[in-house]
Formats: sequence, C-alpha cells, structure tokens
Amino acid sequence: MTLLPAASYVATLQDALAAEHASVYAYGALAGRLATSSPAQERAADGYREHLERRDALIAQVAGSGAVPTPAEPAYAIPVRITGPSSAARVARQVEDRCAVHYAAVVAVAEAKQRAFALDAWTDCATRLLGWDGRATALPGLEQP
Amino acid sequence: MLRTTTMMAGAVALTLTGCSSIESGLGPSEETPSGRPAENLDEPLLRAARADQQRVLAICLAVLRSHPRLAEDLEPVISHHRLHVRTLGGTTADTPRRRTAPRKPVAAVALLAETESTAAADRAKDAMEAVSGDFARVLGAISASQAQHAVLLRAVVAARGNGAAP
Repeated sequence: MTLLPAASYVATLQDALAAEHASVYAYGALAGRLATSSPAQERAADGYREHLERRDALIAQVAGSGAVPTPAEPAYAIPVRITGPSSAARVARQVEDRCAVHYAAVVAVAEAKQRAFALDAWTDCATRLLGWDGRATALPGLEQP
Repeated sequence: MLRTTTMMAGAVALTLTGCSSIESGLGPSEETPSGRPAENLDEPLLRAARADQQRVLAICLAVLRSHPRLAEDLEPVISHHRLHVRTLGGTTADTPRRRTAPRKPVAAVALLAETESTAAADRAKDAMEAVSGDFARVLGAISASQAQHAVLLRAVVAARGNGAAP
C-alpha cells in the first residue's frame, strides 16, 4: 500500500500553487504593460515563463498526491500602478518575495527526498529578485520582506 | 501587494530570530521513527555546514583584507555570512585566519563568486539530507542567500572585467 503524503505537505504545495497562479498573472500583466522589447519587458516575459513552469509542476505534484490542485482566480488585484520599469520592479519583487516564503514553507514540511523542487524554485526566486533591483539578504524567504 | 484570500492564508508571518542558534529549531519534539530526537541525527550535518560556512566567511575576509577597495561590494556579503555562521550555532570568532587572496581584485572576486556558488549547492544538498524540516529550511535560506551572492559577485567581475572600474 502506498501512503499518501502528509496533509500539511500538500497544503503547503497548494499555497505555493496559489502564489504561482498569482505570479503568472502578475508577470503577464507586467509584460503587457511594459514597452515592447524593452529589457524590463523581456525580464517580465522570462519571469512569466519561469513561474508558469513552476505552476505546472506544482499542479502535477498536487494532482499526483491525490488532491485537486487549487485553481487560479479569474483576476488578481495589483495595487501598484504599472507605469514603467520601476513600478514593474516593485510588483516583481513582491512576487518573488512571496514565492520564496512559500517554497521555504514547502521545504520545512517536505520529506527529505521531496525537497529538491522547492529548494530549486526558492533559489530562483531569490536570484530573480536581484534582476528587479532587489537586495540580497542573509536568509531570503525567512525574513519579512 | 498581490492579494487573494488563498494567498493571504498561506502567507504565514515568518520571522527568524537572527542571532539565536538553529539548535532551537531542532527541538526534541521532532522524533524520528527510531525514537531518537532529530537534533542528534542532524548534529554531524550541522557541524559540517557550520565549519564550511566559517571557511566561506574566512575567504571573504581574506579578500577584503587584501582588497579594501572592494569593501562596498563585500561588506553586505560578509555580514550575511556572519549571520549564517551564527544561525548555525557558530561564533564568528572561530573563523580561521591566515588565508591569502588572489592579488588581482577581479580574480579575487571571481574566486568568491565560485566559492559562493559551490557553498550554495552544498547547503542545498545538506537541506535534502537533513532530518529536521526546520533545519532544512534554514539550510535552504543560506543556500538561496549564497546563490544571490554568486550572481552579484559575477556581475562585479563582468563590470570590472570590461574595464568599467580599476
């Protein structure tokens, strides 16, 4: 008999998935509002693709555990008005900070052999943040952004 | 802020008492199947990670001693490393000295970038071996921080390598 993963692990995956749905939406919005082919728009497009991949991987993991993956909301409020690269960067930094916190939570409850994905995604968030003028910190994902 | 009720529910306030040792996170409540506390099982990993982070800090300090003009780039990195060592229960006074650094600033920063990158990978590997989830989380954060350092230091190398700075 195969044991199903502990509920709290699936719950943290679902939370990370909800965050990734929002990230995909936010990066899509950024890419749509930034100047065509500008460096910021290209960075937003990269962020969109990378979060999309993480989102799909999380959907597969949640479904694989026997749970129903959290669906995306129809829309997400982005309280910062995106008028250019600097307001876009503010949104992107929030996205990355938020995702890092969620992946840290996944690592904390995952079985040792299940941690690789979240560790990898966590590092990606921490380094992508730097591309949006984010600052390096001692413990990304554990500190209050 | 991006906000949905689902996201807010998951956004648990996470704080880490910066100066306290990780050992508080490896409490005896975390029992393993054998009944031994996870604290004991992770002890060798903790000791090795601490020693390695002290070594990384020592390399950074050696580079700063040889190249004081790199202070602006290195000081934040060094302060993170001090916190990493303390978080792993070490003291920064134990840091081994007597290290030399490459004479050329660019080469010294490139060495640091490489060191950070390797340490980031090593702590991620440790995080996959830790028994305690809380310990794994701390190791993951240290790994992510060092991945950030590697990116920033490589950017310094690229800028200096292009003759943008002496």
